[in-house]
Amino acid sequence: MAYMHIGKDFTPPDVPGKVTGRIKYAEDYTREGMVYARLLTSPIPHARVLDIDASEALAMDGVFGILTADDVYPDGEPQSTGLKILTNEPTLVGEPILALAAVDEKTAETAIAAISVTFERLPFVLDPLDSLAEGGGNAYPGDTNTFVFRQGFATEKWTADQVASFRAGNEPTAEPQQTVEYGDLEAAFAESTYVYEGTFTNAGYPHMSMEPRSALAYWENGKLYLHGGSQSLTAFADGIAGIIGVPKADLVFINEATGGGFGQRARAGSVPVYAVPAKLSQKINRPVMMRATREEEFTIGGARQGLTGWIKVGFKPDGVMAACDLWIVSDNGGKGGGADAFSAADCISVLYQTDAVRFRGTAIGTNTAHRGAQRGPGQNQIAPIISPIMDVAADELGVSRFDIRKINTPMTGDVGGPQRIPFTSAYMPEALEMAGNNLDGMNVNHVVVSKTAAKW
Amino acid sequence: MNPKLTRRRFIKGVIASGAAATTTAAWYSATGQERPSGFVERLVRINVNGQVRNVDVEPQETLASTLRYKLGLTGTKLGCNRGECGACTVLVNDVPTYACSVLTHSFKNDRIETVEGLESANGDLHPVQQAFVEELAPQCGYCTPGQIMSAVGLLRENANPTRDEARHALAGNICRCGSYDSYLDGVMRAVELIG
Amino acid sequence: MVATSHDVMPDIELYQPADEATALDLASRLGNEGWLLGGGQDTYGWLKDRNKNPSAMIELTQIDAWKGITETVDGIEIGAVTTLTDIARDPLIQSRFGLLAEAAGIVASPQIRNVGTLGGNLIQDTRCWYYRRGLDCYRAGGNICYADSPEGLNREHALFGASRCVAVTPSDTAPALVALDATMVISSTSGQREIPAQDFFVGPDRDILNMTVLNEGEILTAVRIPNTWANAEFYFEKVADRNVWDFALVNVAAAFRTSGENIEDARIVCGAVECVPRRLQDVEAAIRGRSRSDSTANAVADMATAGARPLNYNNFKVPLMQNLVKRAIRG
Repeated sequence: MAYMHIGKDFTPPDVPGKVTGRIKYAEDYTREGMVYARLLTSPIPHARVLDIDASEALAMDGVFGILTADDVYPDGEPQSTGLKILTNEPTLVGEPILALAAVDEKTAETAIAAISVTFERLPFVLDPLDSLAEGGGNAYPGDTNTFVFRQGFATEKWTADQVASFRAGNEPTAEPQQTVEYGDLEAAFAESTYVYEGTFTNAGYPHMSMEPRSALAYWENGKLYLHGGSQSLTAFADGIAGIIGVPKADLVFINEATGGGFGQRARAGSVPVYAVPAKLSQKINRPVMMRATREEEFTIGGARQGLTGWIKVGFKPDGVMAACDLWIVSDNGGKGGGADAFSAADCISVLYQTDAVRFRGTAIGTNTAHRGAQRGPGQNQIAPIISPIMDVAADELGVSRFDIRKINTPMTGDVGGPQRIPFTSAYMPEALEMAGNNLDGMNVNHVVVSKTAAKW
Repeated sequence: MNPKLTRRRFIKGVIASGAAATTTAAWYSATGQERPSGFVERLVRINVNGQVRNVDVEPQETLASTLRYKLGLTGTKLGCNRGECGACTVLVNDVPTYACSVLTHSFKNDRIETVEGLESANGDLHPVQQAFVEELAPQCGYCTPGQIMSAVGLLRENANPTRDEARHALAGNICRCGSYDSYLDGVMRAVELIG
Repeated sequence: MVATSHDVMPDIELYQPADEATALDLASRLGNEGWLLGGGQDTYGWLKDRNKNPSAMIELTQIDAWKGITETVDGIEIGAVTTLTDIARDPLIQSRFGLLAEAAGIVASPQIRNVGTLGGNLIQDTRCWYYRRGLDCYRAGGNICYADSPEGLNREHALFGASRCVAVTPSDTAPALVALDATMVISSTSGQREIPAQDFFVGPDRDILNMTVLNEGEILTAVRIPNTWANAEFYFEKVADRNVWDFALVNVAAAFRTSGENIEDARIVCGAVECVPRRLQDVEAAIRGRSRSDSTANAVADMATAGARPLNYNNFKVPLMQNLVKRAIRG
């Protein structure tokens, strides 16, 4: 059988355009009469917009119009997780309030500075544990701080003592929102000769792909032409048509190249901001280009969830991980959504073939950056937590740090996760072996850890 | 159509943006004011990719802005517009420079080269471009033009760099896909192609 | 109150004087409204953010007299708008004052060094993010320091010399020039003055709004390095979170004259621990007559950070600074 590509060298069709600069990303397109949009974003972590006075800006030469949440949502803003295109109740610094179109970016920025917005400040919270504690602020509209699947926004509180105890490093005693478990945890801990217990916190960092989430939009003969970056035209087009409110048949989504996806451009819900130039273009009847700034990528660019957790891991005398008990409070940022914490537990189950695992988790909002899909959700947050625990266990049990990983690694036919899904092919031991050989000359069994750092 | 958008208003906007050609000297003569010494002329000639181009450049305009929005050379990317990513790297007199963080007016007597200017007249890729294709160096490709310009700058100065020298030369170009090693493979292959 | 993420250059005039007299005249006439522009690498961020709003830029890089490296009777003179790349690669500086070549060669990134100037690196503003954000802190003329507040993030801030403001000098070349006993040449329409590098930088106790002695209308035009430390034994090391782009968490620039095994004289200067480059004169005195060894280094480690007053998040700078000083002494 003759294959077109398998077994042959070939040049993927996108590569020549990428080395010549000819391939086009969204912001490389232009359109006659195109104007440039900029966002006015919230300077306050949680607020309500009482009034917008754009009269001075609109009177400036070269300014073509603004788009506000009232234009986008004439019947009121939707109550859902995920970013709204524009909002009158921002729940994070940097959330878009309005967009302004002008003859160039400089004029747009100058005009935005002339817009007066009156905000009512609302209580805000930056740490999910502050929000969990009775009397703590709530990040979401309607004085809520969490989103429950199929139920909507709700408010979750622990007693002050429960929060203080968790902060002090103890196992949380509150009811979790979610529990997933397999194996006999108690028996597995009983089999363990070394048990590690501790708490951890990590931050949720945003994407920072090289191409900002810029988009160009224009309408012709009732059809919307939208240039943006995506990870999949087919998966993306439906969603963005829905966000904009245009029938899919009337949307032409144009995407030659994408300057980085990593999960943030898989679904339109992660980049609703593409809808801003589309709506603005419809309102002012001109092609609108909106280049996102690098700073905007930090606030609306979709960060990981930050995890604050308690972990207990038991190891048998030979280094086999017998049990893992994991309790995580997820920081879901200003908009909610996401399930990284469960994936963190799943990752431990898969990578270390733990006999018994229990995951308990609660997700709480804070008035911080929007959170969204980012590759390796949960796995990336837990890796720097679990890896040093493996080292400590190896040292305590007198097993080498290399061997403890090899002993626990999954192999073909093993199963993982709460649903005990089998692996059809897994070659991690071989990979570790090769890595070990390549580290020849380095003593992989005795990695020196600096003790002086601990002093400070 | 927005009723506010009269034709007159649009034209005024265009003039305010600087898209129409006016010169500072003309403005001063029109207003009868004395022109301070050292003040820049807006209508300038710059040498880009071997061609002398006449452009109306605002005093504060960055080179990236001129290249992308006035000359249509969109191979030069804006990743951060802050001199912190390298996607806008161009060569000025063979020297790698962040186009987002220099003023066009500073380079009226200099040779500016962008990724669009690297191919030979008959369409052959520059050896660095060819090597990057052969090594399949780009992934998302957004940082690629900047990486290429840094590599070309290096090879003009040092035709036979070590991999470590190449690493240092490309250190001012971020790649979020993590193609760094492939880019270095590309530079080292380019050295062979140039011979 | 509104906020937007500015990232394009605002309207501002540009002057490109071709000679010294015109530049000095412009600087004098425009005063604080005229922003002195070297390579611009610490200019455009301020202007794009619209957190500094001068009405004009005066570009100094077209003036040949302020550019280049020349040998003088008793040392060398470097024009203030000489690029960091030119300094790092200059054979004379490399051979005689390798300390400066090394410091200049590790600033930021290759592209920034290619246009960034020595003068710009010396007079660049502090990196305190609260100040950079345009907040109304002491340094911006307000009456609060956000970094030194109970929840302030001050990992990169000062160990020494805090006075309301806890910002630090971000320069890599400044400690090297203090260590080399350099002199700053400052010009204005009323003439020229020379200031020792050590006195060129000022802390918040003296002037909370400015980091150097430069007055309105004055331009740093050259740096003179005497042969005092030519071909000495040098040590430069910079520790930053990233190898490229980043500013130092702590850096050290040191020069030693030895006779046989013993140190005759030394200069040890640390950056990023105070608003000014911090010269460690006690340490310099204590190591005279001793060898460049572990025992000498260990003996003065505590002295190197004596008087440090760490903030909530920068305790790590104490051992970091001690270790860098020890490494400098050991060589």
